[in-house]
Amino acid sequence: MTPNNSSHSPASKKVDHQGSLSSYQIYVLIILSIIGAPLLNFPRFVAAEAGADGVWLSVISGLLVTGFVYMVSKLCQRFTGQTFVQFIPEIFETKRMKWIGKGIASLIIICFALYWMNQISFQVRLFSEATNTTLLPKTPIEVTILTLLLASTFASYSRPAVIGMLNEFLFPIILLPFLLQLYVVFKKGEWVHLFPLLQSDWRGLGKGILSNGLGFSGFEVLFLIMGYSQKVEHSAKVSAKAILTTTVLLSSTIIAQYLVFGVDALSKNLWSALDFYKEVRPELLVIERIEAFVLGIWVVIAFIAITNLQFALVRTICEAFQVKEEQTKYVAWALLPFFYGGAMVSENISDFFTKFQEYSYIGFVFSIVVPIVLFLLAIIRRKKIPSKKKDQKGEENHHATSS
Amino acid sequence: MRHLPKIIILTLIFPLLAGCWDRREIEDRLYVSAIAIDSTEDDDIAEISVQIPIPNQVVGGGGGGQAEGGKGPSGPFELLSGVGKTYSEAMHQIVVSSNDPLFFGNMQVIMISEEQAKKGIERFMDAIKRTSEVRRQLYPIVVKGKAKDALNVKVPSEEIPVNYIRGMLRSGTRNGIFADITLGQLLIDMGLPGCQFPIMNYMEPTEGGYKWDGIAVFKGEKMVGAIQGREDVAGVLQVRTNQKGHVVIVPRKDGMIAFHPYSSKRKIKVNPDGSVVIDIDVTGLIQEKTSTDDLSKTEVLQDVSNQVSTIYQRQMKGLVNHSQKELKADVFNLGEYVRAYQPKFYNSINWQEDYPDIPITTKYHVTIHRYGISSD
Repeated sequence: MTPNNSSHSPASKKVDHQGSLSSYQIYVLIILSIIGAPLLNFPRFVAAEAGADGVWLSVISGLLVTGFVYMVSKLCQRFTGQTFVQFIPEIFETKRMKWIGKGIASLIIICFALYWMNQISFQVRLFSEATNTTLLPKTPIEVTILTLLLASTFASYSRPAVIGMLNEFLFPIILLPFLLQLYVVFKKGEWVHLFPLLQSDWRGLGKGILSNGLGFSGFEVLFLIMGYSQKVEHSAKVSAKAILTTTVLLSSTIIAQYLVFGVDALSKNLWSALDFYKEVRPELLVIERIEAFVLGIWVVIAFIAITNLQFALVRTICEAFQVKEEQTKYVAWALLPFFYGGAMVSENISDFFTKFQEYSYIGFVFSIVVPIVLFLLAIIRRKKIPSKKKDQKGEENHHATSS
Repeated sequence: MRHLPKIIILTLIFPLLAGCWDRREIEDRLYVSAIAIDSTEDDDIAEISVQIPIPNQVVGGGGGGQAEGGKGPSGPFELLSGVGKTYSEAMHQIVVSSNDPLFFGNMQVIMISEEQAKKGIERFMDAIKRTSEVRRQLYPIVVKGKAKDALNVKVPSEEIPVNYIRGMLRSGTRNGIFADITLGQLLIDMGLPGCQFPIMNYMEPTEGGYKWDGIAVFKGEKMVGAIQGREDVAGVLQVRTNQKGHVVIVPRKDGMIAFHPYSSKRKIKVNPDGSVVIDIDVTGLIQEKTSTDDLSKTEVLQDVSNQVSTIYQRQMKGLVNHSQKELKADVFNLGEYVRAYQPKFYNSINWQEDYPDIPITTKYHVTIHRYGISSD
């Protein structure tokens, strides 16, 4: 892997797709990359890992991730129009030893790529397990996995602008289950199920914050999409808003399921998100079973999250190896067997959860630690690429002074 | 022609689409409308029966309908039974004796015989909750006598008896009379550590129908008794599920006044010493009056409200006493509140054993909103 060495001239760093995503598209893309198939099981995971305190720790985790993402965006703002593939080498390189920058960057990018591959395989398998258990028991899991992967791979090699529009289009649809859950809570929720709070020790609280933080996996796509942003100067606010919105969506889902099931019943319910909607008989809606309707929307949620992650991975690889735009699709299709293999690696569901959660924890900690190091190094070493506007302004001023 | 290879590939992919494996024609399924769980002489073995409607035998189902009440191909439904040590074993016997696969997605009622309920229900509930087809909105009930026989009752107004029970339960819960306990609620109750006393509706098959007999009370997975009598059940449900309560007849000096509640809200407070205070706000209207009281006067309404509160309070005191001294079962689900609000105290005691010694106080606040369309 040879990341672009673009320290020579700012003009050469400009990627083809710079400026192809609007602020709203970035906002939606971040949310939809985080909220994916894992939400089908995530409240159960939080209940099992964090106990009753999982409810408020989800909000704390969200706020911490918001602050963290704001910092990451500030890091990306320092390198206007560049994706992380381009700016990481610059942070590490020295004038004499440019290979250090390339070497460390390659290592970091490989780790991110592996983490995304793990996340894609995890999401695909998780969603297929959910559909096969609840809806299509006779369909071989290989078929559901492949169907989903074929669709997401086909979409993943689209240009960033297309991916942005796809996310923008699907965003209102995915909000429907979150609105419906208010109805379920109104009908079946009990405040008493949220208590007793503050029962965890310090270790438990740390574990709770980390397990809740895992729900935000997928935010790493912003390392890439910031490079495609139209208004880099707004990107920090936009990404912080996106994480805050995600916090509201994730926390409300967790709180809603705690209110209905209680922490103990929830921790024993594998597909709690679907059973949650089975708790009520809708009186005003035309459909008799809202869980079927919700599962239908969940197909969209899983599809778009997997597509976004695949898109990020494919673009990262293409940028790292300087693959031409028209060859992107070959990269996307070549990766498909790896996702499939990753998804099929576990023999049974408990092995699957154990294995993938371990990898996800490692990946999540990595995706938190690395940006902090990058940010600090960028400040200490004063690494920065000024924005185009500033450049132009600077040039104008220069002309004015000289004339 | 440029897109021909793509079209061919897409056409070849269609058979691989996920839904095709699970495709099943509607007439190739046996729709289970209810199951009955009965005990046998051997404590380890249970009998499970399923009720399957036969569409072309039901009036309007295309076959003319001979409402002969069940058994066999001549009636509108079929009853299939199996016995086994586990739910799956008994169900396997049913499956091998039926011509099409069973579908549980339309199941409305699970009937458990009182005898089996007293032996325990957990193993059946475990099997049922693992089946994703089963709706969490169906009604689990305990029936007096054999549950299989309860599935075979001839009801004049319904060809499929389970439709009658479902209608009865649905309207009873909507009116706030029956316990609103669905399968989902039962599973939640059984999963809550502080809720060690689940409840279910308790019914008895009669000649030509069913009679609601109150609520069956469980200690863990075993039925320990029942609360019968409308007032007592209403008191339990006011606290447990916020249901509205029952009609109260207030004696006046020259007649009576009937108070009809239409909503009830309870607040449960747990003190650090474990004592529980239940505040219940009941709102309702005057449904009937034979006395000469002038209801347009605020003081009269206040007086009637106080009387209703006193009656409710007296009944509730008796009910609390009954649950602590005789049943020794926390029918109100107060354990969950004690665990939630005073976890230290809860962890220091054994709720199942110590419940009878917990001081419980109830306070009623009754508000009369209106008195019908008559002005006095």
